[in-house]
Amino acid sequence: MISADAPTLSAADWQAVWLTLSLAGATTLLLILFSTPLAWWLSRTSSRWKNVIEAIVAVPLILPPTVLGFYLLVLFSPDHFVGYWWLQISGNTLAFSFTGILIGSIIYSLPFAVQPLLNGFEQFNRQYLEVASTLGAKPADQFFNLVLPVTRSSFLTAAGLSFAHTIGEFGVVLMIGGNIPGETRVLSIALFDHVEVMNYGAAHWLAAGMLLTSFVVLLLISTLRPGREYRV
Amino acid sequence: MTCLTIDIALSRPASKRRGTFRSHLCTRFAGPGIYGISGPSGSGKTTLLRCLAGLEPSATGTLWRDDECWLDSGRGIHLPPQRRQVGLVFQDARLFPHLNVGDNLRFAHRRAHSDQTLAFDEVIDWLGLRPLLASPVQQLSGGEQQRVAIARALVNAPRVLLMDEPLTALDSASRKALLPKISELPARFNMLMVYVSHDEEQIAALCDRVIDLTNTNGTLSGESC
Repeated sequence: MISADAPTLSAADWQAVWLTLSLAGATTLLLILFSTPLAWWLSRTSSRWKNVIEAIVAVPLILPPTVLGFYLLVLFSPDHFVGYWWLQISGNTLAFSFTGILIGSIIYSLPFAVQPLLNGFEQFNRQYLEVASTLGAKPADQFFNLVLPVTRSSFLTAAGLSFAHTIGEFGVVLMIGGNIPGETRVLSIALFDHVEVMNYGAAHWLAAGMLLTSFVVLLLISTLRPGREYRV
Repeated sequence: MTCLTIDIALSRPASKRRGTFRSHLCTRFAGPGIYGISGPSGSGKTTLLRCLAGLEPSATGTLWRDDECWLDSGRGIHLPPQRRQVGLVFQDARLFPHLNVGDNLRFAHRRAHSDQTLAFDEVIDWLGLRPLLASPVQQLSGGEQQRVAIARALVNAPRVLLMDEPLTALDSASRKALLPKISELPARFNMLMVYVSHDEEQIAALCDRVIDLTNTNGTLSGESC
Protein backbone atom coordinates (compact mmCIF):
# COMPACT_ATOMS: atom_id res chain seq x y z
CA MET A 1 0.00 0.00 0.00
CA ILE A 2 0.99 3.62 -0.33
CA SER A 3 2.52 4.78 2.94
CA ALA A 4 1.86 8.24 4.32
CA ASP A 5 5.35 9.50 3.52
CA ALA A 6 5.38 8.01 0.05
CA PRO A 7 6.79 10.43 -2.50
CA THR A 8 4.26 11.58 -5.05
CA LEU A 9 5.04 11.88 -8.74
CA SER A 10 8.22 13.66 -9.83
CA ALA A 11 8.49 15.98 -12.81
CA ALA A 12 9.99 13.08 -14.78
CA ASP A 13 6.97 10.94 -13.94
CA TRP A 14 4.60 13.66 -15.12
CA GLN A 15 6.63 13.86 -18.32
CA ALA A 16 6.06 10.11 -18.74
CA VAL A 17 2.33 10.61 -18.13
CA TRP A 18 2.15 13.28 -20.81
CA LEU A 19 4.25 11.23 -23.23
CA THR A 20 2.07 8.15 -22.72
CA LEU A 21 -1.14 10.11 -23.27
CA SER A 22 0.34 11.67 -26.43
CA LEU A 23 1.41 8.26 -27.70
CA ALA A 24 -1.98 6.69 -26.93
CA GLY A 25 -3.88 9.62 -28.47
CA ALA A 26 -1.81 9.67 -31.67
CA THR A 27 -1.93 5.86 -31.95
CA THR A 28 -5.71 5.83 -31.55
CA LEU A 29 -6.27 8.58 -34.10
CA LEU A 30 -4.02 7.01 -36.73
CA LEU A 31 -5.37 3.51 -36.05
CA ILE A 32 -8.97 4.61 -36.59
CA LEU A 33 -8.01 6.36 -39.83
CA PHE A 34 -6.14 3.31 -41.07
CA SER A 35 -8.39 0.55 -39.69
CA THR A 36 -11.68 1.96 -40.98
CA PRO A 37 -11.01 1.36 -44.69
CA LEU A 38 -9.24 -1.91 -43.89
CA ALA A 39 -12.15 -3.27 -41.81
CA TRP A 40 -14.66 -2.00 -44.39
CA TRP A 41 -12.81 -3.81 -47.15
CA LEU A 42 -12.54 -7.00 -45.03
CA SER A 43 -16.27 -6.89 -44.29
CA ARG A 44 -17.20 -6.67 -47.97
CA THR A 45 -14.57 -8.66 -49.85
CA SER A 46 -14.86 -12.22 -51.03
CA SER A 47 -11.16 -12.21 -51.91
CA ARG A 48 -9.22 -15.34 -51.01
CA TRP A 49 -6.72 -13.04 -49.32
CA LYS A 50 -9.32 -12.08 -46.72
CA ASN A 51 -8.35 -14.86 -44.31
CA VAL A 52 -4.65 -14.17 -44.74
CA ILE A 53 -5.09 -10.45 -44.04
CA GLU A 54 -7.30 -11.18 -41.02
CA ALA A 55 -4.67 -13.53 -39.62
CA ILE A 56 -1.90 -10.95 -40.14
CA VAL A 57 -3.99 -8.29 -38.39
CA ALA A 58 -4.60 -10.67 -35.45
CA VAL A 59 -0.94 -11.73 -35.01
CA PRO A 60 -0.11 -9.02 -32.42
CA LEU A 61 -2.78 -10.57 -30.14
CA ILE A 62 -0.63 -13.63 -29.46
CA LEU A 63 2.86 -12.62 -30.54
CA PRO A 64 5.20 -11.77 -27.64
CA PRO A 65 5.71 -7.98 -27.83
CA THR A 66 9.46 -8.50 -27.67
CA VAL A 67 9.33 -10.48 -30.93
CA LEU A 68 7.47 -7.65 -32.67
CA GLY A 69 9.87 -5.17 -31.08
CA PHE A 70 12.89 -7.16 -32.23
CA TYR A 71 11.81 -7.23 -35.87
CA LEU A 72 10.94 -3.54 -35.80
CA LEU A 73 14.35 -2.78 -34.28
CA VAL A 74 16.02 -4.62 -37.16
CA LEU A 75 13.78 -2.78 -39.65
CA PHE A 76 14.50 0.63 -38.08
CA SER A 77 18.26 0.13 -38.13
CA PRO A 78 20.08 2.41 -40.62
CA ASP A 79 21.60 -0.81 -42.04
CA HIS A 80 18.14 -1.74 -43.30
CA PHE A 81 16.71 0.15 -46.28
CA VAL A 82 13.64 1.24 -44.27
CA GLY A 83 15.73 2.72 -41.47
CA TYR A 84 18.20 4.15 -43.99
CA TRP A 85 15.44 5.75 -46.06
CA TRP A 86 13.90 7.33 -42.95
CA LEU A 87 17.33 8.65 -41.88
CA GLN A 88 17.83 10.20 -45.32
CA ILE A 89 14.49 12.03 -45.42
CA SER A 90 14.18 13.03 -41.75
CA GLY A 91 17.74 13.17 -40.49
CA ASN A 92 16.85 11.01 -37.47
CA THR A 93 16.80 7.31 -36.76
CA LEU A 94 13.47 5.60 -36.23
CA ALA A 95 14.80 3.44 -33.40
CA PHE A 96 14.76 5.18 -30.00
CA SER A 97 12.41 7.91 -31.23
CA PHE A 98 8.78 8.87 -30.56
CA THR A 99 7.92 8.18 -34.22
CA GLY A 100 9.44 4.70 -33.85
CA ILE A 101 7.37 3.78 -30.80
CA LEU A 102 4.31 5.29 -32.49
CA ILE A 103 4.75 2.90 -35.43
CA GLY A 104 5.29 0.02 -33.00
CA SER A 105 2.14 0.96 -31.04
CA ILE A 106 0.04 1.13 -34.18
CA ILE A 107 1.05 -2.39 -35.22
CA TYR A 108 0.78 -3.71 -31.66
CA SER A 109 -2.78 -2.36 -31.16
CA LEU A 110 -4.00 -2.99 -34.72
CA PRO A 111 -6.29 -5.95 -33.87
CA PHE A 112 -7.91 -3.94 -31.07
CA ALA A 113 -9.05 -1.36 -33.61
CA VAL A 114 -9.80 -3.57 -36.61
CA GLN A 115 -11.77 -6.31 -34.84
CA PRO A 116 -14.55 -4.15 -33.29
CA LEU A 117 -14.91 -2.19 -36.55
CA LEU A 118 -15.08 -5.41 -38.55
CA ASN A 119 -17.77 -6.79 -36.23
CA GLY A 120 -19.76 -3.58 -36.56
CA PHE A 121 -19.48 -3.47 -40.36
CA GLU A 122 -20.40 -7.16 -40.68
CA GLN A 123 -23.54 -6.62 -38.60
CA PHE A 124 -24.48 -3.52 -40.58
CA ASN A 125 -27.43 -4.33 -42.82
CA ARG A 126 -26.28 -3.70 -46.39
CA GLN A 127 -29.86 -3.25 -47.52
CA TYR A 128 -29.76 0.26 -46.01
CA LEU A 129 -27.09 1.13 -48.57
CA GLU A 130 -29.38 0.06 -51.41
CA VAL A 131 -32.13 2.31 -50.05
CA ALA A 132 -29.68 5.20 -49.68
CA SER A 133 -28.37 4.77 -53.21
CA THR A 134 -31.88 4.91 -54.70
CA LEU A 135 -32.42 8.05 -52.60
CA GLY A 136 -29.46 9.61 -54.40
CA ALA A 137 -26.73 9.17 -51.76
CA LYS A 138 -23.28 8.60 -53.28
CA PRO A 139 -20.90 6.10 -51.62
CA ALA A 140 -19.04 8.66 -49.42
CA ASP A 141 -22.37 10.19 -48.39
CA GLN A 142 -23.65 6.70 -47.52
CA PHE A 143 -20.58 5.96 -45.41
CA PHE A 144 -20.51 9.19 -43.41
CA ASN A 145 -24.26 9.66 -42.96
CA LEU A 146 -25.40 6.07 -42.62
CA VAL A 147 -22.65 3.54 -41.87
CA LEU A 148 -20.72 5.76 -39.45
CA PRO A 149 -23.67 6.79 -37.23
CA VAL A 150 -25.22 3.31 -37.20
CA THR A 151 -21.91 1.63 -36.26
CA ARG A 152 -20.66 4.38 -33.93
CA SER A 153 -20.55 2.04 -30.93
CA SER A 154 -17.95 -0.02 -32.81
CA PHE A 155 -15.87 3.12 -33.36
CA LEU A 156 -16.12 3.94 -29.67
CA THR A 157 -15.02 0.43 -28.72
CA ALA A 158 -12.16 0.45 -31.24
CA ALA A 159 -10.90 3.84 -30.04
CA GLY A 160 -11.23 2.96 -26.34
CA LEU A 161 -9.48 -0.40 -26.65
CA SER A 162 -6.68 1.04 -28.81
CA PHE A 163 -6.12 3.86 -26.32
CA ALA A 164 -6.11 1.60 -23.25
CA HIS A 165 -3.99 -1.06 -24.90
CA THR A 166 -1.37 1.50 -25.95
CA ILE A 167 -1.15 2.82 -22.40
CA GLY A 168 -0.34 -0.72 -21.26
CA GLU A 169 2.40 -1.26 -23.83
CA PHE A 170 5.81 -2.29 -22.46
CA GLY A 171 7.76 -4.89 -24.44
CA VAL A 172 7.60 -3.21 -27.83
CA VAL A 173 8.58 0.19 -26.44
CA LEU A 174 11.44 -1.30 -24.44
CA MET A 175 12.84 -3.03 -27.53
CA ILE A 176 12.59 -0.17 -30.03
CA GLY A 177 12.38 2.91 -27.85
CA GLY A 178 14.64 2.23 -24.93
CA ASN A 179 14.19 4.62 -22.04
CA ILE A 180 14.72 8.21 -23.20
CA PRO A 181 12.92 10.76 -20.98
CA GLY A 182 10.46 12.88 -22.97
CA GLU A 183 10.93 10.79 -26.09
CA THR A 184 10.30 7.12 -25.34
CA ARG A 185 10.08 6.78 -21.53
CA VAL A 186 6.41 5.87 -21.23
CA LEU A 187 4.55 5.10 -17.99
CA SER A 188 5.01 1.35 -18.00
CA ILE A 189 8.77 1.85 -18.35
CA ALA A 190 8.84 4.55 -15.69
CA LEU A 191 7.03 2.09 -13.41
CA PHE A 192 9.61 -0.60 -14.18
CA ASP A 193 12.42 1.87 -13.34
CA HIS A 194 10.85 2.71 -9.98
CA VAL A 195 10.51 -0.98 -9.09
CA GLU A 196 14.11 -1.68 -10.10
CA VAL A 197 15.39 0.89 -7.63
CA MET A 198 12.86 -0.24 -4.99
CA ASN A 199 10.97 3.07 -5.17
CA TYR A 200 7.66 1.38 -4.43
CA GLY A 201 5.84 4.58 -3.41
CA ALA A 202 6.09 6.16 -6.84
CA ALA A 203 5.55 2.76 -8.47
CA HIS A 204 2.24 2.49 -6.59
CA TRP A 205 1.07 5.88 -7.87
CA LEU A 206 1.85 5.00 -11.46
CA ALA A 207 0.43 1.47 -11.26
CA ALA A 208 -2.78 2.61 -9.58
CA GLY A 209 -3.14 5.46 -12.10
CA MET A 210 -2.86 3.08 -15.04
CA LEU A 211 -5.20 0.55 -13.44
CA LEU A 212 -7.78 3.28 -12.87
CA THR A 213 -7.38 4.64 -16.41
CA SER A 214 -7.91 1.20 -17.96
CA PHE A 215 -10.97 0.63 -15.79
CA VAL A 216 -12.48 4.04 -16.60
CA VAL A 217 -11.93 3.58 -20.34
CA LEU A 218 -13.68 0.19 -20.29
CA LEU A 219 -16.48 1.59 -18.15
CA LEU A 220 -16.92 4.48 -20.60
CA ILE A 221 -17.09 2.07 -23.54
CA SER A 222 -19.85 0.03 -21.94
CA THR A 223 -21.90 2.97 -20.61
CA LEU A 224 -21.57 5.32 -23.58
CA ARG A 225 -22.24 2.58 -26.11
CA PRO A 226 -25.27 3.77 -28.04
CA GLY A 227 -27.03 1.82 -30.68
CA ARG A 228 -27.72 -1.36 -28.76
CA GLU A 229 -31.34 -0.77 -29.54
CA TYR A 230 -30.66 -0.57 -33.29
CA ARG A 231 -31.75 -3.51 -35.34
CA VAL A 232 -28.84 -3.15 -37.71
CA MET B 1 -45.26 11.80 -69.06
CA THR B 2 -42.51 9.31 -68.28
CA CYS B 3 -41.71 6.31 -70.42
CA LEU B 4 -39.58 3.27 -69.61
CA THR B 5 -38.38 1.17 -72.53
CA ILE B 6 -37.22 -2.19 -71.30
CA ASP B 7 -35.39 -4.96 -73.11
CA ILE B 8 -33.49 -6.91 -70.49
CA ALA B 9 -32.46 -10.44 -69.65
CA LEU B 10 -33.22 -11.39 -66.08
CA SER B 11 -31.09 -14.13 -64.66
CA ARG B 12 -29.91 -15.52 -61.40
CA PRO B 13 -27.38 -18.34 -60.97
CA ALA B 14 -28.54 -21.57 -59.34
CA SER B 15 -28.67 -21.56 -55.54
CA LYS B 16 -29.36 -24.32 -53.00
CA ARG B 17 -33.06 -23.51 -52.97
CA ARG B 18 -33.63 -22.76 -56.61
CA GLY B 19 -32.30 -23.73 -59.96
CA THR B 20 -30.92 -21.40 -62.59
CA PHE B 21 -33.37 -18.71 -63.48
CA ARG B 22 -33.43 -16.93 -66.83
CA SER B 23 -36.00 -14.91 -68.64
CA HIS B 24 -36.19 -12.08 -71.07
CA LEU B 25 -38.49 -9.11 -70.75
CA CYS B 26 -39.20 -6.72 -73.55
CA THR B 27 -41.82 -4.06 -72.91
CA ARG B 28 -42.62 -0.41 -72.51
CA PHE B 29 -44.18 1.38 -69.55
CA ALA B 30 -45.64 4.82 -70.16
CA GLY B 31 -47.25 6.76 -67.38
CA PRO B 32 -48.55 8.30 -65.14
CA GLY B 33 -50.24 5.10 -64.04
CA ILE B 34 -49.55 1.84 -62.28
CA TYR B 35 -48.00 -1.10 -64.08
CA GLY B 36 -48.38 -4.38 -62.23
CA ILE B 37 -45.88 -7.21 -62.31
CA SER B 38 -47.34 -10.48 -61.12
CA GLY B 39 -46.11 -14.06 -60.95
CA PRO B 40 -45.22 -16.70 -58.39
CA SER B 41 -42.18 -16.35 -56.17
CA GLY B 42 -39.02 -17.12 -58.09
CA SER B 43 -40.38 -15.78 -61.35
CA GLY B 44 -38.07 -12.76 -61.31
CA LYS B 45 -40.38 -9.97 -60.11
CA THR B 46 -37.97 -8.58 -57.54
CA THR B 47 -35.01 -9.07 -59.88
CA LEU B 48 -36.83 -7.00 -62.49
CA LEU B 49 -37.39 -4.12 -60.05
CA ARG B 50 -33.77 -4.30 -58.90
CA CYS B 51 -32.64 -4.11 -62.53
CA LEU B 52 -34.82 -1.03 -63.06
CA ALA B 53 -33.38 0.59 -59.93
CA GLY B 54 -29.80 -0.20 -60.97
CA LEU B 55 -29.14 -2.56 -58.07
CA GLU B 56 -28.25 -5.55 -60.26
CA PRO B 57 -24.79 -4.89 -61.72
CA SER B 58 -24.97 -8.09 -63.78
CA ALA B 59 -28.13 -7.02 -65.67
CA THR B 60 -27.83 -7.28 -69.44
CA GLY B 61 -29.84 -5.68 -72.22
CA THR B 62 -31.02 -2.12 -72.70
CA LEU B 63 -33.08 0.17 -70.57
CA TRP B 64 -34.18 3.72 -71.34
CA ARG B 65 -36.13 6.33 -69.41
CA ASP B 66 -37.46 8.69 -72.06
CA ASP B 67 -34.28 9.59 -73.95
CA GLU B 68 -31.90 8.84 -71.08
CA CYS B 69 -30.01 5.54 -71.33
CA TRP B 70 -29.87 3.67 -68.00
CA LEU B 71 -28.45 0.43 -69.25
CA ASP B 72 -26.81 -0.74 -72.42
CA SER B 73 -24.68 -3.72 -71.56
CA GLY B 74 -23.37 -3.90 -75.14
CA ARG B 75 -21.90 -0.41 -74.84
CA GLY B 76 -20.88 -0.86 -71.19
CA ILE B 77 -23.39 1.70 -69.90
CA HIS B 78 -24.80 1.09 -66.42
CA LEU B 79 -26.14 4.22 -64.78
CA PRO B 80 -25.77 3.86 -60.98
CA PRO B 81 -28.94 3.94 -58.83
CA GLN B 82 -28.07 7.42 -57.51
CA ARG B 83 -28.58 8.91 -60.97
CA ARG B 84 -31.70 7.08 -62.11
CA GLN B 85 -34.17 9.20 -60.14
CA VAL B 86 -36.16 6.17 -59.07
CA GLY B 87 -37.81 5.49 -55.74
CA LEU B 88 -37.89 1.93 -54.45
CA VAL B 89 -40.18 0.79 -51.63
CA PHE B 90 -39.21 -2.65 -50.37
CA GLN B 91 -41.31 -5.34 -48.71
CA ASP B 92 -39.65 -4.45 -45.40
CA ALA B 93 -39.59 -0.71 -44.78
CA ARG B 94 -35.80 -0.48 -44.25
CA LEU B 95 -36.04 2.78 -42.31
CA PHE B 96 -32.66 4.05 -41.16
CA PRO B 97 -32.42 2.93 -37.52
CA HIS B 98 -30.37 5.88 -36.21
CA LEU B 99 -32.86 8.49 -37.43
CA ASN B 100 -36.36 9.23 -36.22
CA VAL B 101 -39.28 9.42 -38.65
CA GLY B 102 -38.79 13.11 -39.48
CA ASP B 103 -35.04 12.67 -40.03
CA ASN B 104 -35.61 9.66 -42.26
CA LEU B 105 -37.84 11.85 -44.43
CA ARG B 106 -35.41 14.78 -44.35
CA PHE B 107 -32.56 12.44 -45.40
CA ALA B 108 -34.51 11.74 -48.60
CA HIS B 109 -35.78 15.31 -49.07
CA ARG B 110 -32.27 16.81 -48.87
CA ARG B 111 -31.14 14.47 -51.65
CA ALA B 112 -34.25 15.01 -53.81
CA HIS B 113 -33.74 14.01 -57.44
CA SER B 114 -35.31 17.06 -59.03
CA ASP B 115 -36.03 20.68 -58.31
CA GLN B 116 -39.70 20.04 -58.73
CA THR B 117 -39.77 18.48 -55.28
CA LEU B 118 -43.09 17.40 -53.99
CA ALA B 119 -44.21 19.54 -51.12
CA PHE B 120 -42.68 17.91 -48.05
CA ASP B 121 -45.59 18.88 -45.81
CA GLU B 122 -48.17 17.74 -48.33
CA VAL B 123 -46.73 14.20 -48.39
CA ILE B 124 -46.54 14.07 -44.58
CA ASP B 125 -50.15 15.18 -44.18
CA TRP B 126 -51.44 12.99 -47.00
CA LEU B 127 -49.99 9.88 -45.31
CA GLY B 128 -50.95 11.07 -41.81
CA LEU B 129 -47.39 11.08 -40.51
CA ARG B 130 -47.33 14.39 -38.65
CA PRO B 131 -47.97 12.88 -35.20
CA LEU B 132 -45.12 10.39 -35.77
CA LEU B 133 -42.37 12.77 -36.90
CA ALA B 134 -40.45 12.71 -33.62
CA SER B 135 -40.86 8.95 -33.04
CA PRO B 136 -37.94 6.54 -33.23
CA VAL B 137 -38.59 4.16 -36.11
CA GLN B 138 -38.30 1.15 -33.79
CA GLN B 139 -41.53 2.19 -32.08
CA LEU B 140 -43.68 2.17 -35.22
CA SER B 141 -46.11 -0.58 -36.22
CA GLY B 142 -45.57 -2.39 -39.52
CA GLY B 143 -48.18 -0.28 -41.28
CA GLU B 144 -46.71 2.96 -39.95
CA GLN B 145 -43.22 1.91 -41.02
CA GLN B 146 -44.41 1.20 -44.53
CA ARG B 147 -46.21 4.57 -44.70
CA VAL B 148 -42.95 6.28 -43.70
CA ALA B 149 -41.06 4.26 -46.33
CA ILE B 150 -43.51 5.40 -49.02
CA ALA B 151 -43.29 9.00 -47.83
CA ARG B 152 -39.49 8.77 -47.82
CA ALA B 153 -39.50 7.63 -51.44
CA LEU B 154 -42.00 10.38 -52.42
CA VAL B 155 -40.22 13.36 -50.82
CA ASN B 156 -37.13 12.25 -52.75
CA ALA B 157 -39.10 13.29 -55.89
CA PRO B 158 -38.48 10.25 -58.10
CA ARG B 159 -39.57 10.13 -61.71
CA VAL B 160 -40.47 6.46 -61.40
CA LEU B 161 -41.68 4.78 -58.22
CA LEU B 162 -41.00 1.06 -57.84
CA MET B 163 -42.84 -0.96 -55.20
CA ASP B 164 -41.85 -4.49 -54.25
CA GLU B 165 -44.71 -6.17 -52.39
CA PRO B 166 -45.09 -3.20 -50.02
CA LEU B 167 -48.21 -4.65 -48.35
CA THR B 168 -47.18 -8.28 -47.97
CA ALA B 169 -45.69 -7.98 -44.50
CA LEU B 170 -48.70 -6.07 -43.11
CA ASP B 171 -51.82 -7.26 -41.30
CA SER B 172 -55.06 -7.06 -43.25
CA ALA B 173 -56.28 -3.89 -41.50
CA SER B 174 -53.11 -1.97 -42.39
CA ARG B 175 -53.25 -3.39 -45.88
CA LYS B 176 -56.81 -2.15 -46.36
CA ALA B 177 -55.87 1.30 -45.06
CA LEU B 178 -52.84 1.67 -47.31
CA LEU B 179 -54.21 0.21 -50.56
CA PRO B 180 -56.35 3.28 -51.50
CA LYS B 181 -53.42 5.58 -50.78
CA ILE B 182 -51.20 3.66 -53.19
CA SER B 183 -53.91 3.64 -55.82
CA GLU B 184 -54.23 7.42 -55.50
CA LEU B 185 -50.49 8.00 -55.92
CA PRO B 186 -49.98 8.25 -59.72
CA ALA B 187 -52.79 10.74 -60.28
CA ARG B 188 -51.96 12.80 -57.22
CA PHE B 189 -48.23 13.04 -57.82
CA ASN B 190 -48.26 12.58 -61.61
CA MET B 191 -46.00 9.56 -61.42
CA LEU B 192 -45.20 6.32 -63.23
CA MET B 193 -45.33 3.37 -60.84
CA VAL B 194 -44.29 -0.25 -61.20
CA TYR B 195 -45.95 -2.43 -58.61
CA VAL B 196 -44.81 -6.00 -57.91
CA SER B 197 -47.03 -8.46 -56.09
CA HIS B 198 -47.84 -12.15 -56.11
CA ASP B 199 -51.34 -11.23 -54.88
CA GLU B 200 -53.59 -11.10 -57.93
CA GLU B 201 -56.39 -9.30 -56.10
CA GLN B 202 -54.04 -6.47 -55.15
CA ILE B 203 -52.73 -6.23 -58.69
CA ALA B 204 -56.25 -6.20 -60.11
CA ALA B 205 -57.37 -3.52 -57.65
CA LEU B 206 -54.41 -1.22 -58.30
CA CYS B 207 -52.98 -1.62 -61.73
CA ASP B 208 -53.86 -0.18 -65.09
CA ARG B 209 -51.84 -2.82 -66.93
CA VAL B 210 -50.39 -6.13 -65.76
CA ILE B 211 -47.44 -8.17 -66.91
CA ASP B 212 -47.49 -11.74 -65.69
CA LEU B 213 -44.07 -13.30 -65.29
CA THR B 214 -45.47 -16.82 -64.84
CA ASN B 215 -43.92 -19.29 -67.27
CA THR B 216 -41.43 -16.83 -68.66
CA ASN B 217 -38.43 -19.07 -68.70
CA GLY B 218 -38.11 -18.00 -72.27
CA THR B 219 -39.14 -14.71 -73.71
CA LEU B 220 -41.93 -12.47 -72.70
CA SER B 221 -42.89 -9.56 -74.86
CA GLY B 222 -45.13 -6.74 -73.93
CA GLU B 223 -46.49 -4.04 -76.17
CA SER B 224 -44.54 -1.61 -78.33
CA CYS B 225 -41.31 -3.51 -78.32
